[in-house]
Amino acid sequence: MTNFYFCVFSNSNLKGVMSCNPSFGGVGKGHLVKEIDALDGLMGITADKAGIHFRILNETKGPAVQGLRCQADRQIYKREMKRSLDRIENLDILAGSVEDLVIKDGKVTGIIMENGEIIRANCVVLTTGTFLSGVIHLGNERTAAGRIGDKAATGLSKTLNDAGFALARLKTGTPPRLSSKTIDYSELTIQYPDNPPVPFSELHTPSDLIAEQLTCWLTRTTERTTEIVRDNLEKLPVFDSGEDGEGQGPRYCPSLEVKVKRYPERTHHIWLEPEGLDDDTVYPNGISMSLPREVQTEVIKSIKGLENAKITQFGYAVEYDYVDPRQLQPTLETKNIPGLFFAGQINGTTGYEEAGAQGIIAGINAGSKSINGNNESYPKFILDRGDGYIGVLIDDLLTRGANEPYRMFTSRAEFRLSLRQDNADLRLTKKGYDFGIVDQFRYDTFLRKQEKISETSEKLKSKVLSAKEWESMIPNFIVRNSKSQNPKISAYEMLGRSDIDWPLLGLVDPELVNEVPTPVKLFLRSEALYKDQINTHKTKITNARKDEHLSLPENIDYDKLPFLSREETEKLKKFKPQTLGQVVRLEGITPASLVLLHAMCRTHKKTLAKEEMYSEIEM
Amino acid sequence: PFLRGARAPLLPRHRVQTRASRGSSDVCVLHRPCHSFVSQTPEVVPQPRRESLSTWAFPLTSEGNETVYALSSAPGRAGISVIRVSGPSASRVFSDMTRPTGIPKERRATLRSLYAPGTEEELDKAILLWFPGPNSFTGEDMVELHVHGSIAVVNSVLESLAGLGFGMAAPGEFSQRAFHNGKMDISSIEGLADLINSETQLQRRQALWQMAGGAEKKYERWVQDLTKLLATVEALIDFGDDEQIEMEVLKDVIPRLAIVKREIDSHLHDNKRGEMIRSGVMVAIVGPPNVGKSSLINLLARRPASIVSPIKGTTRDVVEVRMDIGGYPIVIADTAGLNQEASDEIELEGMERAKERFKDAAVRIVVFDIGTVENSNHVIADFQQLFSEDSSNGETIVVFNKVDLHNGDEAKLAQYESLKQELVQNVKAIKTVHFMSCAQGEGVSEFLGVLEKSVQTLLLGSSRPSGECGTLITRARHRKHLEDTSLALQQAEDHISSLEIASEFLKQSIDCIGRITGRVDIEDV
Repeated sequence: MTNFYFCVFSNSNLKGVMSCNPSFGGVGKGHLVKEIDALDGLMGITADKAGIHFRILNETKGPAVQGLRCQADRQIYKREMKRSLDRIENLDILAGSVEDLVIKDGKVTGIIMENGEIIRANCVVLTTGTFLSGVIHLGNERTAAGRIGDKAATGLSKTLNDAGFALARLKTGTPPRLSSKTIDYSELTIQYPDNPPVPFSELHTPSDLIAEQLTCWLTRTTERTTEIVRDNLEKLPVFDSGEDGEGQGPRYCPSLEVKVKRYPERTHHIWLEPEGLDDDTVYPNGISMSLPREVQTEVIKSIKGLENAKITQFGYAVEYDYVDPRQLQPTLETKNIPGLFFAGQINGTTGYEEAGAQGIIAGINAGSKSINGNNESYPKFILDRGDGYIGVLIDDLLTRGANEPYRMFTSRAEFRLSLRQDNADLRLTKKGYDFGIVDQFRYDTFLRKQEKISETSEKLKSKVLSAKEWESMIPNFIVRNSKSQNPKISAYEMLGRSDIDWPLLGLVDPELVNEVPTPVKLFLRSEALYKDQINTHKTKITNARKDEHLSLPENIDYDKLPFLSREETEKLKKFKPQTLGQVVRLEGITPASLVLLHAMCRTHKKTLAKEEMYSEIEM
Repeated sequence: PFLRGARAPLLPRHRVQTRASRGSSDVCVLHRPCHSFVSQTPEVVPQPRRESLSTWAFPLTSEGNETVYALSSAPGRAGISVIRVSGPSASRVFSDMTRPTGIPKERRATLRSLYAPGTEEELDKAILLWFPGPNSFTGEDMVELHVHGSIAVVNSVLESLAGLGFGMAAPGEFSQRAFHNGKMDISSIEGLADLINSETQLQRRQALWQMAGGAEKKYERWVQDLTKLLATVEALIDFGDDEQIEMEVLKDVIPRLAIVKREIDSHLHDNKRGEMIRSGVMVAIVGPPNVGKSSLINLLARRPASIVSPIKGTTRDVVEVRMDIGGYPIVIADTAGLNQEASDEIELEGMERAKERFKDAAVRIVVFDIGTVENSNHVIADFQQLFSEDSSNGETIVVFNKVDLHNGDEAKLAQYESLKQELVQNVKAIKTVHFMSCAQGEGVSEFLGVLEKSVQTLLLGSSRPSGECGTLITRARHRKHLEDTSLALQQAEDHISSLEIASEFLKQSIDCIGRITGRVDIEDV
């Protein structure tokens, strides 16, 4: 039996097109890119090849909360992504717009193309982006489109609605683009890229990246900017979503208009980011807006360095449909329509990284289900909150839903110090390999790294000196708070101090540091630094998994549970949680009910085990 | 005392209420560790009710023990007895057991004849109260039956309730249901248990405050403050680089953290007054053999709690008496005499225990026989030899017994005064010296005054004459969690330069406080 994987884009040129800021990663988002890479996804690899400005955000803070980020060249990214996709066997790329789904007997059986052609499929992953009934707003102009120049998909919304999905609208926006030639950089703050740059992919070293890295610039809005925006607030579009038609946009990436409304007394910084090596376009990061064109022109003029800047494309806002993600399973297959998967903005998220993270999970599971003859008990690839940020993201969506565009942060991960960029591969690559989605080359690379880690860690642990010896060899360094006068300390313990890092260890013994690859250094430093917390997390994760994966009895009749309040019953009936962990994160379930549901799960588990035992005996 | 275990009750068994209700006498003698007096609320969160859960386990067909009943007043003959029924089928009491049938008006006393279900057998005429859920104590439908307090009536009504298929409530089950239905948090339930067990006015006041959620409010406020702090730290981590808000905000975080920590620490530094109010102030009577220690305790207890004889070393073990002195709860212990020539193994063990008590006691009464005292140096030497341990924590009262030997001897009286002066001047631990005669009752009421004053100072603090007890920690469990909170905050402070580590400790501190009120996540269950 042959499997065909269809990748349908609304326009054949669009694979790897970035609607918004051509950048990847950031605080929290960098983790997602690293995890996608650890599972052999393409985002990190492609971003590395197209990166023109690599910089680690939060560099002054600890390694667990630093964020890898890069500006990418739009054209190169698109070219590289196409090249990688074209190389994949069994993948047919079909250009065209999907008009509708074919749903038969409650199951998805295919898609209908714009030209009426029907393509049969067991599994369909819907990644509608901002195209699902997308409407572009610019001043009071409204255009049905998902991106400037691209048609929106409207038929799908109705089908989804008819199939029982709850739809709502979200808003996002993009700033006007500028011509670099017309910007006066002389008075602006320059932002150099990191040297050497740190690549996303575990398969890359700095030498695999584009050698010529570009600089960015920093400017600020002025009081005049605030004035212009404030005086023109009534010219803003009226959105379908949000309070008073303000639009339900990303809270942590607000438009200029929202910033002015919220903080009228402040000015705001703007990063001027080049969109490519041979591209004159500059992306002014921080001022997405949907004011009328003439106002946008005024706004740009009011900003230092941009007085004479030419706008090459005006900013706009886009409003689109999304589906309540609480109707999904952890595989991202929908609960009501078997075979139908959702990933990306359709689930209420914002950002490429969040979309990619869902895409890889939905893709893996749709593939697995398809290969396994559409059997409902197909091998599932599920990540939980202890596995990584991908697990956190999906779990948040499934249990809390999304009332505003969901963006990843490090604070969403309760096991933050354990889920780091430097161990994404150690957390996920083997898991992916065992499932069959990580190729041999990556797995071998991973094994070599693992070996190097244990070798280096052994070396560090066996290098033991007295406190006095360390002090004498490291300038301006004192071992404090020690119980004994002159304790013995290993190099590994030294690495766990916040005031010691690899270069200082190198001063003491170059042997320890030489020929240790950077990824190994990063990993060991974090492990040593967060040793105590990592240990606590391990126990917590084990305990949480024990309960987390306790499954609730199927067909449970919540109406008959005397300890549930009416609201709780309604909630549980609506969202049909499958595991206790999901109940925990449903808002509004009291601890009291949890205790009892917990006990129920345990009894259920025992009953299941017994049944299994009996059935074995009978056989 | 109740053993801890799967069935650890949240509330004392109903039998305990009996004991409390019997407490018309202010003294009862306990020859067991005094802490067992008040039933211990199990550490942590209530255990899931295993027995009754089996009926909730899938499939949920059996209505079984979802409705439970219990005699809520003391068993035995009384004017009236109160039986409570709680659960979804509670109203069946009206349809199956009363004439006329039908559910009465809610929260209104109704007089009805009670019948054994399905028979013409009248059991009693009773007052019934109907509390439909969720506005009831447990949050479920509840019926209260006020029957005549006869053993026969109560037994027949309980049998009838069992006949309806209702289950006998496990000890503390009503409170457990209240907790599970979100009617009470754990600290309030503990307050209720304390109220039922309260014997003194101070205990009652403290328990009522806790039951009303007083403690909870205080802890909740800390949780709120810390959560706000955590949010700031998280914003710094996730948006600090973006928004360039770094340092100025951090400057604000450090003092805010310090304020909460200081508040918790000062709450902890209450000299354990709340716990003492709850379980009684520990008072130890110690001294050489045959000086009248046992006579003193018997005098205080107004009964022969301890055997008194002229034979040295009559008291071998610790004898405890709980009592109420001026409204303050105390646990007073008579101990074996400290005999420097002792060689008998039992006597030596008794002395060990006496010294242990001396060390742990909040008030120490050191008794000497005035007849054997030669001069102050002799007493000081004895004192220091016997109690080499640092005894400066807590109050020490020195009592010279048997002053009746010197009755009317003016010279001796003058000597007493100088003895007193010298002792107070030379031994730091001694604050009060008292002369009395246990045999003749001389100086007893003055002594009671002295003891009451010491206990009062301990419980209320010297600065506050009127008892405002609302801010005290009442249980070791609360103290433990607060200490953990303080420790975590200290760690957060120490790691403030690594925000991501400080944040872990802040989260930990919030978890710790959460455990006091039982607002816990599933991990803790």
